Amino acid sequence: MTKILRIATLSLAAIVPAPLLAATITNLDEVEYTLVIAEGSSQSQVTIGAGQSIEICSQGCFLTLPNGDREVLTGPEQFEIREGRVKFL
Amino acid sequence: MMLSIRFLTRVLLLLLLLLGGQVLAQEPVADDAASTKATGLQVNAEQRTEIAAIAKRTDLLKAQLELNATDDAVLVEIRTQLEEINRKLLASGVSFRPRLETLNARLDEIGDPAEDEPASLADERQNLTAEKTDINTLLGEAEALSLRVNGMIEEIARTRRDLFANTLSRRYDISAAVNQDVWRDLRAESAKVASAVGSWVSFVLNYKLSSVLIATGLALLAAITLAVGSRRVFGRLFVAEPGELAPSYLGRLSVTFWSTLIPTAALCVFLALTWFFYDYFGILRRDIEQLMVALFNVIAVVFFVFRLASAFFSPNLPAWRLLPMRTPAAHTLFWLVFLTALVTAADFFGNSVNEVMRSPLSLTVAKSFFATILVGILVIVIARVRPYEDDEGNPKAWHPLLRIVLYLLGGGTLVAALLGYIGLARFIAQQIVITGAILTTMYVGYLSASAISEIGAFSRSRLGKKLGARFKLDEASEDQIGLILSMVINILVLAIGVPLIFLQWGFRWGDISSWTYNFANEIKIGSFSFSLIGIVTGILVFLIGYFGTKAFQRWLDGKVMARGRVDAGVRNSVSTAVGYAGVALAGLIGLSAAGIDLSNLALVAGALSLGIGFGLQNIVNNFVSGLILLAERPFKVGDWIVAGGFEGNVRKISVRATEIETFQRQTVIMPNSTFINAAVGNWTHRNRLGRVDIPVLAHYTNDAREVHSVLMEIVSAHPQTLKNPAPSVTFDGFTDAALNFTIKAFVADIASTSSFKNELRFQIVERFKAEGIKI
Repeated sequence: MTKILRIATLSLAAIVPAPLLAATITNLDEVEYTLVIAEGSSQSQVTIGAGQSIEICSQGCFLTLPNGDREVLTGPEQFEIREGRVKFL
Repeated sequence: MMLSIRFLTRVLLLLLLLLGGQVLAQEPVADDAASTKATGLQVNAEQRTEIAAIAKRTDLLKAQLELNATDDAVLVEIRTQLEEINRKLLASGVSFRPRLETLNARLDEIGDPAEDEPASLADERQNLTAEKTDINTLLGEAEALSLRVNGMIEEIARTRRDLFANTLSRRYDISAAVNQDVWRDLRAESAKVASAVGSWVSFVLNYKLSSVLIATGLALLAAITLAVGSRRVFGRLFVAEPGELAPSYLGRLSVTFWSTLIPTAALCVFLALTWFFYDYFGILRRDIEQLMVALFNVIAVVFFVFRLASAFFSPNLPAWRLLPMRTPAAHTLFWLVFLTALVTAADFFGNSVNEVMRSPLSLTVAKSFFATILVGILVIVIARVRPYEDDEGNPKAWHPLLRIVLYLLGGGTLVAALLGYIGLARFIAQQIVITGAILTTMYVGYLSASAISEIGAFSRSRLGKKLGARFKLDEASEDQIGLILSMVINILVLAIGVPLIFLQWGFRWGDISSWTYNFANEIKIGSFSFSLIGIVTGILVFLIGYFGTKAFQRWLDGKVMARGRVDAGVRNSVSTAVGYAGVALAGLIGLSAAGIDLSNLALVAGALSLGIGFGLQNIVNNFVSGLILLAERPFKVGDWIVAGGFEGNVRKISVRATEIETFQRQTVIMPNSTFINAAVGNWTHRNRLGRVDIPVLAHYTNDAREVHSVLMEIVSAHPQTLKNPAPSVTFDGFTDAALNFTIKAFVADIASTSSFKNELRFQIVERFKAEGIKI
């Protein structure tokens, strides 16, 4: 029984690191921000609350912060917003 | 133990590799060198010109798009270029990131404007802000352009869908196609084809003779290598031995699969190489190239269907057939299937010829008309074949469902063609062949999976025997590996077959992968959402925690506590407690890794909790009692206890109940709460010392003191009686008929006193007889 469990664990371990493609953004400030995301052929607004962490952009997008800064995201990256500015991890 | 450590190391290595691969796959953080302001603006200027160039290109593509709104192939090309533009825009946007980081960092250092700061600082701030604004403007332009490009890509998708729908629903005038002019047009087209090919051949012979010889030579070399090589290396796998009269099911399946796959793969490689060599040497003219590509596609598909049908139906070798069919039916079916594929392929190739030669529409329509009618008829004939034998040996038809599907497909093609919906009829015919081939291959894969999962099938196969010998597995484990393998094959069949079918229906790879990604990531049912990947991750984390706990328990018990000479009862308690804690922790972490939001369930659980609480009262009571027993250890495994009216040795202490084995070898499973809530007598709690009481009755007429001294003698003389505490005989009382004595002796092991008591009683009887003491 344990052998089959081991083999099952191994197979799962091979499947699980599947491409988790979205970018993760964490808001480290105390205020919430409204980001404008241009993904595909449309723009949308996303609100991220204080201390919240969300996933956006599974295929590359342009991001505009409330203070006018712009960023480009491609793929599984992590970054944080601190004092209204973006910092990549 | 050795094997499990090696195994663990391998698991760890594998996990590390996978994680490392994932980390490497992420974008590396760009190393930014300190660039001066001047180069910064220079870079901006370069990027600006590049973005302007991209904008111009997009305009050109837009014009092309409008011009070619009816040509599917051109639309696909434009889309590819647009996707490349989009990637370039994203890449150029990302290239600004290090510079932006430097600017932001420096601006943070400089800080906010202050009253008494030096002018140079204010200047620097101004310059940095200006550059940053510049970059932001550029990114804004890139964003607008990217939005536009993506809009065009979506427009192309819509246009193609509309085109496709139009092709299917367009009705042609059949009568215009089926008349004398068609023959004339056909002859004219044949002449055109002949002249085109002829002119190309003469051109090649005159100007490119050496190139064509080299290219053909290389292609032939590739062909021979592939044909001979595949036979040599894989021959054993896919050659059906004529002499073998009863091949195993798995053997037949494997031969079917490999004899389809390997020769087709070899042929595809050969065709691709031929095209490549001809293209490389510049031998091909544009129209000849189109014809050649269409021809090669057609050859590959027909060959695939040919091999699949010959393996599946196996007309010449009945023993190797996958399904038990009558031989004449197998022959018929083989030829019918092959003909269907051939006709459809010829129609496809013919269409390419029509396109290249710009033939009149009537010819295209006529050709497709006859081809699709033929295909419809063939499919209906296939439906009418009776391949099986029933119990009396009479021919039996297909499964009714399959027959209905075949009739529908064949009839649909026929009707569509006759009514003039040639596009629809062609589409159905092509799908019958290609989707049919893919579905059949998937079916063979599914059959293989079922065959492997049969008991003992895997261990009998060649691969199973090899694995068993190498890893020294027993039959039960091989069976389980067979089960897992069959599950993997099923998953593979679905994972490869379904996207293939969708791809050739016209969906894009990007669509399919984003669907699967969304499906795996989040499934929403009302307001409750969960993710498949999350659940799999949760299970994986739990399994890792579980094995980790077991390993930790074994290490703790085997290495730490055994060496520390800890008492067996304590070891058992600690091991069990560690086990519970570990599994509970693994379960909690697994649940949270699965990302299941339990707060919705909490409402329901709250309502049920009252009833569940009442019902589980006793269980929880027992569970907590069990924990207290583990901690306090009023008895340990092996003790002789008296509890709840039962007496016996403790065999196992579990979370809910404890197992006691009575002296009659009956196992009494007592809930733990009896031990906590009531008194428990433990004969062997501190040590195994105990007192044996033997009541003796002597007749009233005997001399009491004499009886007393005899009994004292007997008990003191016995070797098992301990001197300290000393034995004693008490004169408890008397009635008119008897004198009551009790022999009280201490023995070293209270658990094994039956022989002691027997011996004493024998001696008492013998001595009384000898002394004349009456009982």
